[in-house]
Amino acid sequence: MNPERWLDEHGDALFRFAVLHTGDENLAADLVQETLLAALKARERFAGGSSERTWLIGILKHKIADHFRRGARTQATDPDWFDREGRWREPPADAPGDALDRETLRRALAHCLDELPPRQRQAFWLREVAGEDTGAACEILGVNATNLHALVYRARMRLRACLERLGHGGKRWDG
Amino acid sequence: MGWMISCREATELASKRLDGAAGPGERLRLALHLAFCAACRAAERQMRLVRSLAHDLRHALPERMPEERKRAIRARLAAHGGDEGDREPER
Repeated sequence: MNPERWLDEHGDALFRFAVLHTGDENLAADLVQETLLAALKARERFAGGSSERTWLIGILKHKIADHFRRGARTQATDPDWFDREGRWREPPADAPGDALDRETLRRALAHCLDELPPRQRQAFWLREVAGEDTGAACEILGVNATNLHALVYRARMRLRACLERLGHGGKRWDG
Repeated sequence: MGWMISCREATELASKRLDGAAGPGERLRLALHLAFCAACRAAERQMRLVRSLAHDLRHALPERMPEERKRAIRARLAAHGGDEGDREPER
Protein backbone atom coordinates (compact mmCIF):
# COMPACT_ATOMS: atom_id res chain seq x y z
CA MET A 1 0.00 0.00 0.00
CA ASN A 2 1.53 3.22 -1.16
CA PRO A 3 -0.70 6.30 -0.66
CA GLU A 4 1.80 8.63 -2.38
CA ARG A 5 1.20 6.77 -5.62
CA TRP A 6 -2.60 6.49 -5.41
CA LEU A 7 -3.18 9.65 -7.40
CA ASP A 8 -0.75 8.65 -10.15
CA GLU A 9 -1.94 5.08 -10.39
CA HIS A 10 -5.68 5.45 -9.80
CA GLY A 11 -6.49 9.18 -9.98
CA ASP A 12 -7.76 9.25 -13.55
CA ALA A 13 -9.66 5.97 -13.20
CA LEU A 14 -11.41 7.24 -10.06
CA PHE A 15 -12.10 10.55 -11.77
CA ARG A 16 -13.60 8.82 -14.84
CA PHE A 17 -15.80 6.68 -12.61
CA ALA A 18 -16.99 9.75 -10.68
CA VAL A 19 -17.62 11.82 -13.84
CA LEU A 20 -19.48 8.95 -15.46
CA HIS A 21 -21.80 8.67 -12.48
CA THR A 22 -22.31 12.36 -11.70
CA GLY A 23 -21.73 14.19 -14.99
CA ASP A 24 -20.01 16.98 -13.07
CA GLU A 25 -16.22 17.41 -13.37
CA ASN A 26 -15.81 19.65 -10.34
CA LEU A 27 -17.91 17.45 -8.14
CA ALA A 28 -16.07 14.40 -9.48
CA ALA A 29 -12.68 15.84 -8.49
CA ASP A 30 -14.09 16.73 -5.04
CA LEU A 31 -15.34 13.17 -4.60
CA VAL A 32 -11.97 11.72 -5.61
CA GLN A 33 -10.29 13.93 -3.03
CA GLU A 34 -12.76 12.84 -0.33
CA THR A 35 -12.20 9.23 -1.34
CA LEU A 36 -8.42 9.38 -1.11
CA LEU A 37 -8.50 11.21 2.23
CA ALA A 38 -10.96 8.63 3.60
CA ALA A 39 -8.78 5.84 2.22
CA LEU A 40 -5.73 7.34 3.91
CA LYS A 41 -7.51 7.27 7.26
CA ALA A 42 -8.77 3.74 6.72
CA ARG A 43 -5.67 2.26 5.13
CA GLU A 44 -5.04 -0.03 8.12
CA ARG A 45 -8.35 -1.69 7.32
CA PHE A 46 -7.51 -2.50 3.70
CA ALA A 47 -7.84 -6.28 3.70
CA GLY A 48 -5.70 -6.90 0.64
CA GLY A 49 -8.22 -9.42 -0.64
CA SER A 50 -9.11 -7.15 -3.54
CA SER A 51 -6.91 -4.89 -5.61
CA GLU A 52 -6.12 -1.42 -4.36
CA ARG A 53 -8.12 -0.02 -7.29
CA THR A 54 -11.22 -2.05 -6.39
CA TRP A 55 -10.94 -0.96 -2.77
CA LEU A 56 -10.69 2.72 -3.73
CA ILE A 57 -13.60 2.45 -6.20
CA GLY A 58 -15.64 0.89 -3.38
CA ILE A 59 -15.01 3.93 -1.17
CA LEU A 60 -15.80 6.27 -4.08
CA LYS A 61 -19.14 4.51 -4.64
CA HIS A 62 -20.10 5.31 -1.05
CA LYS A 63 -19.07 8.95 -1.51
CA ILE A 64 -21.21 9.19 -4.67
CA ALA A 65 -24.23 7.59 -2.95
CA ASP A 66 -23.78 9.92 0.07
CA HIS A 67 -23.76 12.89 -2.24
CA PHE A 68 -26.93 11.76 -4.03
CA ARG A 69 -28.76 11.12 -0.79
CA ARG A 70 -27.99 14.57 0.57
CA GLY A 71 -30.19 16.08 -2.13
CA ALA A 72 -32.89 13.42 -1.90
CA ARG A 73 -35.47 15.55 -0.10
CA THR A 74 -35.88 18.24 -2.69
CA GLN A 75 -39.22 17.86 -4.48
CA ALA A 76 -39.72 19.31 -7.93
CA THR A 77 -43.05 20.38 -9.41
CA ASP A 78 -43.29 19.40 -13.06
CA PRO A 79 -45.21 21.29 -15.72
CA ASP A 80 -48.70 19.96 -16.39
CA TRP A 81 -48.13 18.33 -19.75
CA PHE A 82 -51.68 16.98 -19.92
CA ASP A 83 -55.20 18.11 -19.06
CA ARG A 84 -57.48 16.25 -16.66
CA GLU A 85 -58.49 13.77 -19.34
CA GLY A 86 -54.84 13.01 -20.03
CA ARG A 87 -54.73 14.91 -23.35
CA TRP A 88 -51.73 16.98 -24.43
CA ARG A 89 -51.90 20.67 -23.52
CA GLU A 90 -49.21 21.40 -26.12
CA PRO A 91 -48.83 18.48 -28.51
CA PRO A 92 -45.18 17.80 -29.41
CA ALA A 93 -43.98 18.95 -32.82
CA ASP A 94 -43.83 16.34 -35.49
CA ALA A 95 -40.17 15.66 -36.22
CA PRO A 96 -37.18 15.24 -33.89
CA GLY A 97 -34.83 17.41 -35.89
CA ASP A 98 -32.78 15.02 -37.97
CA ALA A 99 -31.52 17.97 -40.02
CA LEU A 100 -29.36 19.29 -37.19
CA ASP A 101 -25.90 17.94 -36.69
CA ARG A 102 -25.24 15.63 -33.77
CA GLU A 103 -22.84 17.98 -32.05
CA THR A 104 -25.41 20.79 -31.88
CA LEU A 105 -28.04 18.39 -30.57
CA ARG A 106 -25.63 16.93 -28.04
CA ARG A 107 -24.78 20.38 -26.69
CA ALA A 108 -28.48 21.20 -26.53
CA LEU A 109 -29.14 18.07 -24.49
CA ALA A 110 -26.24 18.89 -22.13
CA HIS A 111 -27.80 22.31 -21.58
CA CYS A 112 -31.25 20.80 -20.97
CA LEU A 113 -29.78 18.30 -18.49
CA ASP A 114 -28.39 21.18 -16.43
CA GLU A 115 -31.90 22.59 -16.10
CA LEU A 116 -33.41 19.39 -14.67
CA PRO A 117 -34.31 19.13 -10.98
CA PRO A 118 -31.40 17.31 -9.27
CA ARG A 119 -33.13 14.00 -8.57
CA GLN A 120 -34.47 13.69 -12.10
CA ARG A 121 -31.06 14.56 -13.52
CA GLN A 122 -29.34 11.97 -11.32
CA ALA A 123 -31.82 9.21 -12.21
CA PHE A 124 -31.67 9.96 -15.92
CA TRP A 125 -27.90 10.30 -15.91
CA LEU A 126 -27.30 7.01 -14.11
CA ARG A 127 -29.58 5.07 -16.45
CA GLU A 128 -28.98 6.72 -19.81
CA VAL A 129 -25.47 8.15 -19.68
CA ALA A 130 -23.71 5.95 -17.14
CA GLY A 131 -25.67 2.96 -18.47
CA GLU A 132 -26.38 1.50 -15.02
CA ASP A 133 -29.19 -1.05 -14.87
CA THR A 134 -32.30 -0.41 -12.80
CA GLY A 135 -31.01 -2.32 -9.77
CA ALA A 136 -27.71 -0.46 -9.59
CA ALA A 137 -29.32 2.94 -10.18
CA CYS A 138 -31.88 2.25 -7.43
CA GLU A 139 -29.14 1.33 -5.01
CA ILE A 140 -27.09 4.44 -5.69
CA LEU A 141 -30.12 6.75 -5.41
CA GLY A 142 -31.76 4.90 -2.53
CA VAL A 143 -35.14 4.52 -4.29
CA ASN A 144 -37.25 1.60 -5.50
CA ALA A 145 -37.77 0.67 -9.16
CA THR A 146 -41.17 2.40 -9.39
CA ASN A 147 -39.70 5.66 -8.09
CA LEU A 148 -36.75 5.34 -10.44
CA HIS A 149 -38.95 4.82 -13.51
CA ALA A 150 -41.09 7.79 -12.47
CA LEU A 151 -38.02 10.03 -12.07
CA VAL A 152 -36.63 8.95 -15.44
CA TYR A 153 -40.05 9.48 -17.07
CA ARG A 154 -40.30 13.00 -15.66
CA ALA A 155 -36.75 13.72 -16.83
CA ARG A 156 -37.51 12.46 -20.34
CA MET A 157 -40.65 14.60 -20.58
CA ARG A 158 -38.72 17.71 -19.54
CA LEU A 159 -35.79 16.91 -21.81
CA ARG A 160 -37.90 16.33 -24.90
CA ALA A 161 -39.81 19.57 -24.24
CA CYS A 162 -36.55 21.42 -23.64
CA LEU A 163 -35.02 20.19 -26.91
CA GLU A 164 -38.17 21.21 -28.70
CA ARG A 165 -38.15 24.63 -27.03
CA LEU A 166 -34.55 25.17 -28.09
CA GLY A 167 -35.76 24.59 -31.61
CA HIS A 168 -34.14 21.21 -31.98
CA GLY A 169 -37.24 19.10 -31.89
CA GLY A 170 -39.54 21.14 -34.08
CA LYS A 171 -40.78 20.84 -37.63
CA ARG A 172 -39.23 24.12 -38.68
CA TRP A 173 -35.75 22.63 -38.43
CA ASP A 174 -36.23 19.97 -41.04
CA GLY A 175 -38.62 21.83 -43.26
CA MET B 1 -56.10 0.22 -17.57
CA GLY B 2 -58.45 -0.43 -20.49
CA TRP B 3 -57.47 -0.88 -24.11
CA MET B 4 -57.85 2.78 -24.95
CA ILE B 5 -55.30 4.76 -23.00
CA SER B 6 -54.79 8.49 -22.68
CA CYS B 7 -51.81 10.41 -24.03
CA ARG B 8 -50.54 10.74 -20.47
CA GLU B 9 -50.61 6.97 -20.04
CA ALA B 10 -49.13 6.45 -23.50
CA THR B 11 -46.08 8.61 -22.69
CA GLU B 12 -45.66 6.77 -19.39
CA LEU B 13 -45.72 3.46 -21.21
CA ALA B 14 -43.35 4.73 -23.89
CA SER B 15 -40.87 5.62 -21.17
CA LYS B 16 -41.44 2.30 -19.43
CA ARG B 17 -40.79 0.49 -22.70
CA LEU B 18 -37.51 2.38 -23.12
CA ASP B 19 -36.58 1.10 -19.66
CA GLY B 20 -37.34 -2.44 -20.78
CA ALA B 21 -40.01 -2.68 -18.08
CA ALA B 22 -43.25 -2.75 -20.12
CA GLY B 23 -45.13 -6.05 -20.25
CA PRO B 24 -46.70 -7.54 -23.42
CA GLY B 25 -50.16 -6.09 -22.69
CA GLU B 26 -48.69 -2.65 -22.06
CA ARG B 27 -46.66 -2.77 -25.27
CA LEU B 28 -49.78 -3.71 -27.21
CA ARG B 29 -51.86 -0.89 -25.71
CA LEU B 30 -49.02 1.54 -26.45
CA ALA B 31 -48.73 0.37 -30.06
CA LEU B 32 -52.48 0.75 -30.53
CA HIS B 33 -52.44 4.28 -29.12
CA LEU B 34 -49.42 5.29 -31.20
CA ALA B 35 -51.10 4.01 -34.35
CA PHE B 36 -53.79 6.65 -33.93
CA CYS B 37 -51.94 9.49 -32.18
CA ALA B 38 -49.39 11.61 -34.07
CA ALA B 39 -48.58 13.74 -31.00
CA CYS B 40 -47.56 10.72 -28.95
CA ARG B 41 -45.60 9.28 -31.88
CA ALA B 42 -43.68 12.57 -31.98
CA ALA B 43 -43.13 12.49 -28.22
CA GLU B 44 -41.90 8.92 -28.44
CA ARG B 45 -39.44 9.82 -31.21
CA GLN B 46 -38.21 12.75 -29.14
CA MET B 47 -37.63 10.43 -26.18
CA ARG B 48 -35.61 8.13 -28.41
CA LEU B 49 -33.58 11.07 -29.66
CA VAL B 50 -32.95 12.11 -26.04
CA ARG B 51 -31.74 8.59 -25.30
CA SER B 52 -29.40 8.39 -28.25
CA LEU B 53 -27.94 11.85 -27.47
CA ALA B 54 -27.41 10.73 -23.88
CA HIS B 55 -25.37 7.82 -25.20
CA ASP B 56 -23.27 10.30 -27.19
CA LEU B 57 -22.62 12.29 -24.02
CA ARG B 58 -21.05 9.28 -22.43
CA HIS B 59 -18.31 9.26 -25.05
CA ALA B 60 -17.67 12.97 -24.67
CA LEU B 61 -16.77 12.78 -20.96
CA PRO B 62 -13.24 13.81 -19.91
CA GLU B 63 -10.70 11.02 -19.52
CA ARG B 64 -8.31 12.70 -17.11
CA MET B 65 -8.57 14.78 -13.99
CA PRO B 66 -7.37 18.37 -14.53
CA GLU B 67 -3.74 18.78 -13.37
CA GLU B 68 -4.48 21.65 -10.99
CA ARG B 69 -7.01 19.48 -9.14
CA LYS B 70 -4.43 16.70 -8.94
CA ARG B 71 -1.87 19.09 -7.49
CA ALA B 72 -4.34 20.25 -4.84
CA ILE B 73 -5.23 16.69 -3.89
CA ARG B 74 -1.57 15.68 -3.77
CA ALA B 75 -0.91 18.52 -1.33
CA ARG B 76 -3.85 17.49 0.86
CA LEU B 77 -2.74 13.86 0.88
CA ALA B 78 0.83 14.80 1.76
CA ALA B 79 -0.36 17.00 4.65
CA HIS B 80 -2.63 14.31 6.09
CA GLY B 81 -0.25 11.46 5.40
CA GLY B 82 2.59 13.34 7.13
CA ASP B 83 0.52 14.03 10.27
CA GLU B 84 -0.53 10.48 10.72
CA GLY B 85 2.83 9.11 9.72
CA ASP B 86 4.42 10.84 12.70
CA ARG B 87 2.08 9.26 15.20
CA GLU B 88 1.53 5.97 13.52
CA PRO B 89 4.35 4.77 11.27
CA GLU B 90 3.51 2.55 8.30
CA ARG B 91 3.82 -1.11 8.97
